[in-house]
Order: sequence, then structure tokens, then C-alpha cells
Amino acid sequence: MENVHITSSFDKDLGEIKARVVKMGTLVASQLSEGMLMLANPDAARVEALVKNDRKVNGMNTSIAKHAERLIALRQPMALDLREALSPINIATELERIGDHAKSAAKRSQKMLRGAIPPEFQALLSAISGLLQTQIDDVLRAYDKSDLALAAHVREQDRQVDDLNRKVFELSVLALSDGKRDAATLMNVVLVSRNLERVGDHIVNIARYVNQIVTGDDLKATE
Amino acid sequence: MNSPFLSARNVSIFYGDKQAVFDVDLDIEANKVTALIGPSGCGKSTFLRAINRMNDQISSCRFEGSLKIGGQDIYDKSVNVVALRAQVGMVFQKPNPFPKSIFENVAYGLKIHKLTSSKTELQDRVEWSLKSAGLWDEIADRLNEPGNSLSGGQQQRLCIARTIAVEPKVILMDEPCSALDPIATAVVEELIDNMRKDFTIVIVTHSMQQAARISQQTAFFHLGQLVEFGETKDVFTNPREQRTQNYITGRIG
Amino acid sequence: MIDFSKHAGFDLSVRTRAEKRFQWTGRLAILLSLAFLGWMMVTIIWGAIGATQSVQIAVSVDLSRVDGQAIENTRFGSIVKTGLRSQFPEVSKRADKKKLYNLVSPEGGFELARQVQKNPDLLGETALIWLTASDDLSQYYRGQMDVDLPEDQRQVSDLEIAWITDLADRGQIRTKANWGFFTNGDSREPEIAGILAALVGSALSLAVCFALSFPIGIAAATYLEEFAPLNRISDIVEVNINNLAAVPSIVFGLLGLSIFLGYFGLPRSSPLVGGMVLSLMTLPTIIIASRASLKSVPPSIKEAALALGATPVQAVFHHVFPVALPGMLTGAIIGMARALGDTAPLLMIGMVAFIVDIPKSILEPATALPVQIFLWADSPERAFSEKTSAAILALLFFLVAMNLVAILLRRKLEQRF
Repeated sequence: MENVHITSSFDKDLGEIKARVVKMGTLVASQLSEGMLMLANPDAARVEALVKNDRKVNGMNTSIAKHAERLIALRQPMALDLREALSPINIATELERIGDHAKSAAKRSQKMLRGAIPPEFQALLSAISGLLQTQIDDVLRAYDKSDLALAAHVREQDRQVDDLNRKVFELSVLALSDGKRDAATLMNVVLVSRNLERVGDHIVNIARYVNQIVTGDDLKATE
Repeated sequence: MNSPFLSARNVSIFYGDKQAVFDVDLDIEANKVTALIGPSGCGKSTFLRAINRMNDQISSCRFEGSLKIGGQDIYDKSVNVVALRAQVGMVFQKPNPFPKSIFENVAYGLKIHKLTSSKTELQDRVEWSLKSAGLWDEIADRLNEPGNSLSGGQQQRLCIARTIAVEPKVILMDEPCSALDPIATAVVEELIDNMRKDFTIVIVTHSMQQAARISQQTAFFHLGQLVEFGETKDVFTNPREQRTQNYITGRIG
Repeated sequence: MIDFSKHAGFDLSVRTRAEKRFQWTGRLAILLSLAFLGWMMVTIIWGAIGATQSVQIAVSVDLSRVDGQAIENTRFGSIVKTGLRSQFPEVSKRADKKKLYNLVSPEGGFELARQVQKNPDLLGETALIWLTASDDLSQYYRGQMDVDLPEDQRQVSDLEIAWITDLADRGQIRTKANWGFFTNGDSREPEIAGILAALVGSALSLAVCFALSFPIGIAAATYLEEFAPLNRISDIVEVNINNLAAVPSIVFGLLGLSIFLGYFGLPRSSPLVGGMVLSLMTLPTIIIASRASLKSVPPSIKEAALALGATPVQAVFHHVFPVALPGMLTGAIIGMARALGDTAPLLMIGMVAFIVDIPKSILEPATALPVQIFLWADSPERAFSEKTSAAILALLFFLVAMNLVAILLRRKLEQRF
């Protein structure tokens, strides 16, 4: 929506909340990539830093909710404005969950030995996480620019994530039956893959929220 | 959907050569509060005043189209304006009680239309009107005091009581709360909500929050046209028209 | 600490001085007006003082031979003359006797007759009756005559002065409050001339004027303001009414002369015609004041009435009219006050006649206060000049009283709104 409010400070307030969400999203994206790195090469100090950052992510979630609440109280937004004021709360919640998944992946890395993940699984996990990185970037940009097409594209891409996740599962089942690989490691890999798939779902939710802001339609009910 | 009680078709209103309302089609349902919103000069007040033919007082004002109440075209030659106004009451922006006692204010309509046949009946009707307007408890002991000795909010409720007294079918309100403080406004809004079950109410308001609070249906007027009409909950959460959205959110087109 | 005067624009002291200058100019204007007003009042009151007193002479009259049944036929004048001769028996010459009889006002005989009619017990006896002195005597006695002139240039001769002194010594001269001023009609004799006839004439004329102009005026104003359609004809009517309000009043007098007296043949100099002419004059004022009063009623009241289903006539008469009425009344009374003081039109319709009797109906010839003042002012006798000033005061009092009534009425009626 290109048209601006007559009261420019209203636009400023909305823009500020948006900026906060994007900032939180960027931090969460970096947490995710860091978490994946830890899986390949666990480093206790970096894991601790990641956990600390997760607290920062939670703090950002709370402050976004507070700013949104204030905007609603002071501006009595209607229609589009109301959706633009409410959605950041939902989107921040989704981002916070992604952050939690990043943290759990990093923590899991502590339970595994360096280089424990077999290369074929590592490749798959890297593919998934790479896809997710692009998706997070895309969805944040879609939110910032209210780009419906980009949001739709993100939702489309989730299929690939699901496919890759399924592949990890199938491969693990095979490897377990073969008995060639370490069962504990395989279990961890599957769990991590599941986490990543959840991250994908959260990203799709955010894309749906982006759509809802603009069109007012709730895609969760229809898709 | 029940058949509309008040039905406007192709309504256009002119002041001399200047057209104020352009081809409006609107259906207002009985026993509901319909809000007319829009920026200043958008024709909503003009349209409202066409419903009780108050525009007839302005010699340069011309009405085209049809406006039916209960199936009767109110601009038909056979319709007596005086009788129409007993059926369609109006409450104005600035409270305007008559410079008479409170009792006389409420009784006036009953007297000129000869709606009561005895003094006791008149008193009963006045009491009923004042009770319905939520004013009785406050002024029962001073019915003979002048109407304008009351506070602003009380005066407006007195004007509402005066209008209710003749039991009209439709009550038109032209920004009835704009001269009142928030508490008085809330009292009047509560009153309007209670009046809904007995009357059909059409209210023009500048406050979108008020329209959102008290109406079931909202019509958005812009530059003399009816831009959007629908359920209040839809108009204020997800309006169909961009112009409506812009007005509601305070945006420049 | 902020120094506000630093930001006060151009020189603050210049502005303050200009302000003070303006205020003093205003005060000076008011003082000047009040000074002129005060000067006028003082002059008039000073001139009128003499009229408050009348001088009376005690004459011993022999009423023993008056027939109680035939009072009308009795020549009281000669009884008074006889009485005077009895008080000054030494007077013998005819010329001197004439001067003697001149001590008493020519009205003396009539005064005696009125007293006898009021008090029949006086008959059959000799009594000392107080009668009004002549104007010369009154003037002399009250010290308003120039006595330093030689006798042939004086009003009173030495002989008369001697008699007066004599009477004074005997206690047979006194001054009395001149109530006759208010109870008598006009007279050629200034000492007994009064304003009652003029007052009644004025009152009757005003009554006719009010009865005609008030209802017509407020009805016309109500129609023009509330019901007349806004077109060229109404504009023309409004312009004409405004112009009529400025027409010199003598024109209305001419109108009355030619139409009321000439064409309709109504009685000349009657309060009826006077009132009709005055009402023509007052109508525009009442219409304009009433329209202003109606215009000042908030239109929201009328709208509220119409919205309830009142017809336009009901809305106007039930709601607009009562609110406007105080203003209309005030306008009417102010119009009346103007009519009270307007001489010219009444002169045109003949109220300049010399009216002695108090008019009893609106068809009898009458005069009016301002006309009476005009006539007396024309008179050379000094005594009349006192009466003129006194009559002016009476007129002013009447005007102030009418204005007070207007103010009180308005205040009383306004309270209800």
C-alpha cells in the first residue's frame, strides 16, 4: 500500500514496529545458520553465545508485543492498520519459535561427536538449512515490502523442504536396517531434520500472515 | 434478509445547480441502527434530511428519485409533510429544547398531533417518554423547570424524549453527540442501543469509533456518492472499497 | 527570567500611549455630551420653577343674595368685583377700578362659581375666598418683574403695587403649589393654563396609534420574516419599509390631511386622525424592530418544531413568536416614544387649535403635548415661557417613563427564555 496516513507519525510508528520485526528475523536467521554450523563442528563457547542470543530473541518478541499494544491503544487502528498492528505479534511469535529450534539444534550438537554425521546426511541437512535461509530472507523481505507474490513463492518452496525432510527419513530408515551407521547419530539427524521442517512451517505461517495483512484473508483456513 | 423498511433508489439531491447527492441506492432495515459516515460535505446530512423532508424548507433544494418508507413513496404528492414528520423524527447536532418547561417540551408533539385525549394520558405519555430516554429519574421532581436549565447531555436526552413521545417509526440523528462530553456521549449511545428494539435509527456521525460502536450497518458517503454499504463489522475490519479503507484509516488517497 | 516586553513588537510605550489617548478621547466625548445634556436640563428646570407656584388673592365675597337654585344664572364675576371694591373702598376712578379688578385673574368669576358648586354651604354668607391672582400680579409678587423701570414702561403701576403691598400686609396674598398645571386645560390666561387637555389628547392619540400600529406591525413583520417567499417582491417591500422609516414625519401629516381629512372627511384635529397619522409613522419602525427581534431567535427552535411535525404557522406562533415578543414590545414602545414627541404631522392635521376642554372621546377636537409646547413657546407673555419649560419637563418625564416601561417589560419577559 503506497498511500500514506495524514498523520505521518502513525506511519512512523508502524514502520518502527516493522523494522523491529525485520531485525528480529535477521537475528533469528543468523541463529539458525550458526546452529547448523554447530552440528557439523560443535564449539562449546559458540553454543553458549547462541543460547545467550536466544534470550535476546525472546526479549525482542516481548518488546514487539508491547509496541504493538501501545500502538493499538493510542491510535485505535482500523481495518488494514489494525492488521498491520496485530500481525507483528503473531510473526514475532513464529520467529521466536524458529529461534527455539535453532537453539535446540545447537544443543543437540553438544551430544554428538565432531564429524559424527555421515556425509550423505550432512549434505541433505545443509540443503534444507540453505533453503530455509533463503526462505527466511524472502519472507522478511515480503513482509517489509508487502510483496504478496514473494510470500506465495515462499509457501511454494516449503514443498521442497518437506521433500528433503522425507528423504532424510527414508535414508535413515535404510541406514538403520543396514546397521552400518551409529543409531544414536541417526536418531539425532532425524530429530534435527524434523526441527528444520518445523522451521519451514513457521516460515510458511509468517508468509500467510503477510498475505493476511494485505488481503485480510486467513489462508490457514483455506489452504 | 428481511425486506428493507426504508428504501432509497436513484436518489439525487440538488441545491440549485449544484448536485450534492449522486444517484444513491440504499436499503435500511427496520429496528437496526444504520450509520452514515463520510468526510464533511459528502452529502450524508443532505441525504438524512431528505428522509423527513426537512430539505423542503430550503427553496433551492430539489429531490430526484424515490424514497420509500414502509412501501410509501414519501415524496408523493399525496403525502402530507406534517404527518410524515410525526412518523420520522429528528434529533439535531446541537441540543435545541424549546424555551419552555421540560414537561411542555415533551408534550408539544403530543399536543399538536392530538395524540392524547386527556390530561392524565398526556402526563403518562410524557412520563413514559422521559423514562425511555433515561431522563426520568434525574428530573422527575422538576418537570416545570425550563428545558435549557439542564446540562448538555440531559438536554440532548430531552430532545430524544421529545422525539420518542410521538412514537415515530424512524428516528434520524444528525451527529447527536458531537456537542457532548464523553460520559454524556456514552449515556446517549447506550440509550440509542436500547431504542433499537422499538425504532429504526439512522445516525450521521463524524466519529468512526461511534459508528463502529453503535451501528449494525454502515454506509460510507464520499463526494455525494454512496461508496460502500454493509455490515458494520465488515466495513471497519475489511472494507471492499479502497476509498472506504482510506477514510477509515485516515489515509490520503 | 523572560522579559516579555522585549518581544512586544514595536515600541510598547508608543502603543500604551495611543491606547490611553483613545480611551481619554472616548471619555471626553461622553463628558461633553453629558455636559450639554446637563446644561439643557438645568436651563429647562430653572425656567420651569416659576410655573410650580401660583399666587392667590383672598377676596371677600358676599354670597348672601345668591339664589341656590339659580347658580348658573348668577354672575359671579360681578360678585368678585364687588368684593374687591369692598376691600379697597377708596378706589373711585373708573380707570383705577379697572386696575383693581385686574388684580384677580379674569377666570376669577368661574373659579368662584366652581367653588360654590363644590361647597354649597358658602351660600348665604360673606366669605373670604381664595382666587387666582392675575398673571401681572403673580409675576410681580414672585419677584420676576423688573420694577426699576419708570412707571409707564412697567407692567404694574405704583397704585397696583400699593394695593398688593396692602393685601400682603393683611395676609390676603399667598403662594400655592400650582396643581392647576396638571388639572386645567389651556387658557389665554397663563396663570391658569394647564396641560391636562394636551395630556389627554396625547394619551388618546397614542392609544389609537398603538392599537393600530402594534397588531398590524407585528403581523406584517412576522409574515415578512417567516412566511414570505424570498423573491424580488419581498426585497422591494423590505427596501420600501426601510425607506419609509426615514421619511420626515411632516409628510405623513400631509398624507393625513389629504386622505383622512380631505377624502374620508374624518373630524379635524381629533385624536383618531392624530393616532392614525402617528401610526403610519410608527409602523415602519415597529416592523423593522420586530423583524430584527424575530431574526434573532435561534433558527434551531423553529427547526425542532418543524421536525416534530408542526406546520410552519404552528412553529412560528408557538415558539418563535413568544421568544421575539419582548423585543417586539420594546421596539413598539420606542416607536411610541417617538410618536409622542412628534409635532409636525399633528400640526398638519389641525391639532394646533386652541383647546380648552378636555377631550372625552377620540372624535372630539384635541391637542397634543408637543403641540401645546409649540403654542405656548410662541406666546410673548413671560408667564407662558415658564409654562413652556414646565410642559417640556412633563413631556420628558412621559418619555422617560415610557422607556422605563419598555426596559422593565423586556426584562420581565426575557426571564422566561
